[in-house]
Amino acid sequence: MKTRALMLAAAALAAAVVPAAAATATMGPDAVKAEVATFDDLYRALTTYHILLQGDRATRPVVESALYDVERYVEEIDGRYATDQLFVADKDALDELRLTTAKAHLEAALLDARGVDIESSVSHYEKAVALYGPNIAEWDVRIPRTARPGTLPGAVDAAYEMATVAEVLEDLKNFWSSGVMVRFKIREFQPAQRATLRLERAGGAGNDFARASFDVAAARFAARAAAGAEEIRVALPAGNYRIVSADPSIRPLPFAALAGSAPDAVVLNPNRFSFELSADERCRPELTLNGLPINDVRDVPYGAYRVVAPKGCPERLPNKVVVDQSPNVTVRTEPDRLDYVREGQPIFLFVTTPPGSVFKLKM
Amino acid sequence: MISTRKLPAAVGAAAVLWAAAAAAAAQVPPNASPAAQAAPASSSRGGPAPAPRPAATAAPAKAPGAAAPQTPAAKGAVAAQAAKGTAPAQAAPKKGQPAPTPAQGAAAEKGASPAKGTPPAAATPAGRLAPMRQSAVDAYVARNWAGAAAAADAYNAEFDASGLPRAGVDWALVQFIGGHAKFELWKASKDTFKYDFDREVLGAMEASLRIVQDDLFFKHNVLGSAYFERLKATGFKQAGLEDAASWHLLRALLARGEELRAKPETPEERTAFAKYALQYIGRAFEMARHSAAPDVYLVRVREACRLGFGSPYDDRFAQLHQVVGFDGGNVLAGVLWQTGLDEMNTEGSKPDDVLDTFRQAAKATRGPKERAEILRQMSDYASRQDEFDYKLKAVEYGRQAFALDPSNKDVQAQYGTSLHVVSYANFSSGKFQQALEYAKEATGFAWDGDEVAYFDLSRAQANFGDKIAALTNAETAYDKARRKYAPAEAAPFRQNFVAVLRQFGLAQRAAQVEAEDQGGRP
Repeated sequence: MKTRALMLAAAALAAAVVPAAAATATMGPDAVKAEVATFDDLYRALTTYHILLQGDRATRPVVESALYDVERYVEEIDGRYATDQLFVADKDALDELRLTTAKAHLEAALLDARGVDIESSVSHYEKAVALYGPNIAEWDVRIPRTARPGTLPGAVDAAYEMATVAEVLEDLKNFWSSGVMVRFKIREFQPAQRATLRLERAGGAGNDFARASFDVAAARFAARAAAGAEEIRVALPAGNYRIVSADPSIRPLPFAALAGSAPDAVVLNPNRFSFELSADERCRPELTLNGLPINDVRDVPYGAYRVVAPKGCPERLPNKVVVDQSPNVTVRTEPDRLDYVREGQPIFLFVTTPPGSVFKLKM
Repeated sequence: MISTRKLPAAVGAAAVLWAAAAAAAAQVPPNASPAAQAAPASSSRGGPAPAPRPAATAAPAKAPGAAAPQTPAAKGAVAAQAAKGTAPAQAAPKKGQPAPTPAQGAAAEKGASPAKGTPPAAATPAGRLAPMRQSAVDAYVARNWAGAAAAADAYNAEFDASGLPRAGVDWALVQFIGGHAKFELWKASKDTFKYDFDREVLGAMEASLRIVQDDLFFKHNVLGSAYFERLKATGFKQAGLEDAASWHLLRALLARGEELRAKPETPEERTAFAKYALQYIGRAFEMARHSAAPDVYLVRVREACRLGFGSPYDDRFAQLHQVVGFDGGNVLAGVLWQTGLDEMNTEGSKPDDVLDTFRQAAKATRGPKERAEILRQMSDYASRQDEFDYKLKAVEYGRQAFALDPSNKDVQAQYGTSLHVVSYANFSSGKFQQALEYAKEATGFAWDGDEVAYFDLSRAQANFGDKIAALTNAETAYDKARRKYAPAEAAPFRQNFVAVLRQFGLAQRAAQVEAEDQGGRP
């Protein structure tokens, strides 16, 4: 009787600690096996798109359509993996599914990079790392890196070049090095005005990759602006650009995306301000905004101004002055010393002042 | 994958009803319909005998010998019954059938006897919406598209007025019903269509699929068809519609393939599935013909072929798999070529239309040999038409093919044959000069069968009194023929040679040739 009572208690305890869903809805071995096979098949289907992103065949419409499909396949795999985490109890199988999902994201990163969508490529890589772990470069697996039409018996459709993950990451780095992640702050405009903003090329590399990559970024920028985003990040190939608008009240804003740099945010703001440089001639600095030199310091856009002091200047100048409006105007210097002067007063971090202010840099 | 709903298994009567309806419609994907979603939450209201599930717009129009889908279809019929409260869904499950889910049980119980202390159903938004949802389901199941669309609109108006967030299984169900019903209305009469297609057809079904992902084959098929038809109506101009159409139609195939793999499939199911794969490829070909990115169909079509292998249509899938790789993967050319070949083999096709498709295919090719091959095909097809104009066209296509690929023996033979046909026809109608010219052209290059060209040439030359040339070419024709053919087959060539010899007073030599025939010549 006592034993029976203990058994019942144990059973009750077990029932209490085991989630009901896990006990009733886990997938059986056959279903798990089928799921693993389905993942493999989706992953295989994904890799077949490599052949479209090589050589002359990779026209812009082909690339766009191919990447559309690639994204759908990865979404499919992601969605299934998310569900499988709830219902696959077999740890080994779940691990296999996780790794296939990670491989799918790595492939998508490669395909996106070849398809000149650097931003998506980085995003997929980050997901692969999240699934595999930070030591992904040490992953001992070979995956398709490229494909070309096959000519050998048994490989007439496509021949795949396989590569280690480390080699694939090297490929990715090479692709990404041509791109610069640029952040745009456009919150001071009304949504309807933001929707009119567009990116234009104003110079830089003229190769097909750069042009196509810019087209992707420009389309993404326009879509996000149209969606009302106040802050937009897009990956642009190195080069010179400008933000323009169909709204004549919005002045074009030029900027440069410099290779290998982490540029300051590009601020597009209907308001302007002026600098007044009080330094003596020996210390008249060179100012650049968004990678481009500023000659006239009156009525200038908000943003991050890089300051380079001429040789022989005895004063210590800030390296950077960031003038922002969010919503009140703030001025911040780097280094954040207090012996620079604003309107006759020392510059404080995050001070507020109305738009149209004149900032005096005493040097 | 895990099924989110457990539908009762087929019941004999429902299956029979369904089979009859499906046979009539012959356009039904073998899967459960959206109406199936209505089953668990159905009320206890009575109704007429169960109606067949709506025919899917995406089913193959030419599904040869399409048999009524059995188990899944019956499942849909039962679901439709359940939606009307007449199915045995609420009955105790039979042996081997799943028991009602808690939700199903609760819904059934609630419909039969509202819990004490709860407000009257109609007083709550859910209470007001339930009959409206049911109206939409009923109209949809009855294929009353206008009624279903109106009911979905009424439901949505009430839903939005209630301030509820646009979510929930019921809301999603009504979105799909409304979207699909409006799609059917659009197909029936585009001129009187009063809805925003993108928002109320495509958008509604997309929104539904974001929330409820059951019946994936059916739903993706309908949605993909809607994208495809919309794309077609816009003259295949919008790449966004094209990609979405392709994806949803392919996704439907993937879903159905997975369903079939999950159980022992019947040959009929496999065949039906293969037909859907062929239907997808047919649409893919149509999109590729007009696409700015036809080459992407190299991958898309091959994926569909891969799904279709293992069916009675393996040869067809193999052919389609190969044709998209034609001309170095020049999908547009391959698709056009295959389309031309299919048109060519379709009874009632107009020769000019077929040739025009081939012409487009030839124009789309990149490689000269590939273009020559299509031109050779055109020449062959034209030469088999009755009208003399087509015989002349056959010569022209053959001439172009030969110029591109002169060492190709098939091209040589087609070109030479087409010339022979025209030369012969001209000779027969007394146009000796034309016969001579075509025959000269046909002997201007070596080809397998060129003995007939020398035959033509000798006759034509003889008619103009060109003695030496006629004798030489008649002998050449005979010589080639007797080396190649049995004596009986070579006889016309010998007779021609003899006739030319006699025409020019060489009776002794003619007799000698005739004598050779008696004993043969090495």
